[in-house]
Amino acid sequence: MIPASSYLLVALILFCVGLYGALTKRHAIIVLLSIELMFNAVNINLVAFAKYGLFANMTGQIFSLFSITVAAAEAAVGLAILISLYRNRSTVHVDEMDLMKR
Amino acid sequence: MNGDSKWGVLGQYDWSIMAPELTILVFATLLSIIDLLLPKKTDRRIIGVLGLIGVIISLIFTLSNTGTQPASILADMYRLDSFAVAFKAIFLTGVAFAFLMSLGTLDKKDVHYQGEFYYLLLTALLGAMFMASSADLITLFIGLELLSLSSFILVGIRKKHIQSNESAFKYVVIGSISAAVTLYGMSFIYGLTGTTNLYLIAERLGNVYQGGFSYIVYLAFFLMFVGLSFKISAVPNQTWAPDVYQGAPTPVTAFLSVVSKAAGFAIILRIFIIMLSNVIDIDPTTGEMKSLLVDNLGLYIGIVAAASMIIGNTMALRQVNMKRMMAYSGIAQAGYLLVPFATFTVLLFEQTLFYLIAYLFANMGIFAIMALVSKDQGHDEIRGFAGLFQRAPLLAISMTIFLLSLAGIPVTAGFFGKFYIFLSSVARQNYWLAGIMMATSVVSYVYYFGVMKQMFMRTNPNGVNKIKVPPCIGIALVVAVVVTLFAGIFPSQVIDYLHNNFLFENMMQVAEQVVMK
Amino acid sequence: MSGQYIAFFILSLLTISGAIFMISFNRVIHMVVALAFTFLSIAGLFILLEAEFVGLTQIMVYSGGVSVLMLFGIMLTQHSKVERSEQKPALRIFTFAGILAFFVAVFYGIQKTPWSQEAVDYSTQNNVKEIGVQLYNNYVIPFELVSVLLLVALIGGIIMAKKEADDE
Repeated sequence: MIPASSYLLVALILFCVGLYGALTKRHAIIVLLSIELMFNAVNINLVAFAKYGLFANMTGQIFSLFSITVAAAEAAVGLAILISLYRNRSTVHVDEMDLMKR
Repeated sequence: MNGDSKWGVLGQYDWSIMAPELTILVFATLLSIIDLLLPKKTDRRIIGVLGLIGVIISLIFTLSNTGTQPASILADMYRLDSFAVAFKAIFLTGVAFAFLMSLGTLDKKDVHYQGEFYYLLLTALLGAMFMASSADLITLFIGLELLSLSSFILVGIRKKHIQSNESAFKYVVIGSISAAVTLYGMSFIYGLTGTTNLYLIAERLGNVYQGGFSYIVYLAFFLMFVGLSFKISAVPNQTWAPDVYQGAPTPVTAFLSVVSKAAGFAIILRIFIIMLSNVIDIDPTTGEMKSLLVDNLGLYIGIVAAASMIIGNTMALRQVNMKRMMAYSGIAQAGYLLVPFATFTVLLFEQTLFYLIAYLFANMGIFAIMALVSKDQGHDEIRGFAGLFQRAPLLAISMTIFLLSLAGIPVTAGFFGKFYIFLSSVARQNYWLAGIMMATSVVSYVYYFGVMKQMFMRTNPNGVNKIKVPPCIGIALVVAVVVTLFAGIFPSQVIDYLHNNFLFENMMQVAEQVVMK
Repeated sequence: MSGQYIAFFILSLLTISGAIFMISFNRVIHMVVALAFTFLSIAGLFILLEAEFVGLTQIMVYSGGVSVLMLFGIMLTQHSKVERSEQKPALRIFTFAGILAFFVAVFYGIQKTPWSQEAVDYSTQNNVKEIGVQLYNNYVIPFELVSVLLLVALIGGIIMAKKEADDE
């Protein structure tokens, strides 16, 4: 049997890579994708726990379905907001979004 | 009603306890259809008025549940107890203020999608209500995300306004990252307990903690706390607040600073207090038993509270934009509101709620006046308040009352809010936290008095033309002033009312499943 | 049994390398394609965990929906196709160090924790049916709430991305 910790480790690596991408990348679309990666990492965790957890049951799979839905909705809204920003400023670079810095 | 015919298990529940949420849901969907069918030229304020009516009906339903026994549907997927009723009343009042403010000041040129604006406020409210009224991680998370997604759009709804676009995008990024972090913490809790029901989690987590999983419990706590601190804009996650507050339309800023923050507190208190209620730390050498939440984690929550108070109050000093100043002030207020949670006395809920009520009315009042002043001046800066006393003496006086309440000066609600919180930290001999609270409150006087100095001692370079107050803003201001002064003069009545009518202990009781007879 | 190990090894390798490539590529399009690989391999991991329905949803929503959405996003905002140099190096190293510390903390926790040694066997039951029954009974409230959330995302997507023809 594959130990539970190997799945958790894959999820942890993905989560950290996603977090790093979300915090350092400049291209806004890549930032959104990195966030999706973080949600995916969580889903691996949930589904792995549904099989290998302490009181394992189906709830983990159902929770992961909800989290997939939420993540997709967030990606769509994020992209729509990015497009409306692009119309006004013609930039998709996060570090150029500094109008409010004093 | 024949329960077991067509609807299976679902038919046997008494869904009428969900009336407040259902009202909001029905109004939100109906308004979206009405908005679609109305001719393009029609004034969309009619949708706002209908929405306000929906909020008031829902508030009546909510208040009619005051003092009831806890009830639940589908194993606490939906849960009605005093905690839920109190928080939902706060959300509904806050949203009613936001509606009044939008009806009075929202500009058609500024916000093109007025119909959408109003029903997105309602869906955000629906999310907040589920955050207070559920004891299941999945429902709580979906409620949180419904509130977040609706507010992302509301922040960015001034599409022509570059600042609004920018702040909406920042809000989406930071909001989604914290949602993912929260969810990562929740996934560990699920892994340890195999359930998402908070009471079952509490039952199992105590043993699991003893069985060698303590490190993961700590880890999950910190992940969830950091993620959820986004909603209350407390320290590890506060950087978004100034930019987002500045970019959003003023009614939305008011909504974020009051309703969204109160919802954050509701979910934090609900999750952690129930989840960790059975987790006991046994000292291996002395055999002393300590509650994990009260004795061990209280310190960390206290540090977060102290850091929020210090950063919020010192950064607010150097702001020239009123909305940014209110954002930093809001970070500091989140710190004050975390103090009762960190010190954890029996009066935790009464203290938190009293402070939230004081904060709600003071903040809503300030934002309503700010909306008028910035509309008149064309910018949000503090110098726009110059000479307000000559131009509109009543506005200036009520603004003073609200500012005094936020600063915590006697005869206003804010003073007693801070006083009760201060007492709790002294009673638990948490002197360092009490000291930081005192010191930062004194610092906060500087910037609150800075606004008053503008209103009373400066004259406005643009002349002394009068400011017209639309009737709906007038109503909002009168209510806010009355409540702020009433709670400041008769605080014990308010506390007694909360204490006698809301039995917060019943948050811990396992609820009866309400079954149709 | 060893077949499972090999499958896990290959799928997790693909997953992680896709994510690493996403971070290190220069052209934005390549990044998205690398990530699409990651999404597909994650679906494989789900199926390995006997969560067929979640795996298929993953393929449809992420590999199908989100990746294509993001590609459209790049096409619509074609400004610079190349990701230019990132933030100030000092800040980047600081972020990297913070995330490394987080990684070590969680890794330590995962390794030292005695996870249970037995797994639930889902092979006897019908995965889709089981999920369906639970979703429409126990989880009907969050399910309905999600439908409101999707409605909000739909309306939000339309009003934010719509080009206003009638500018007063």
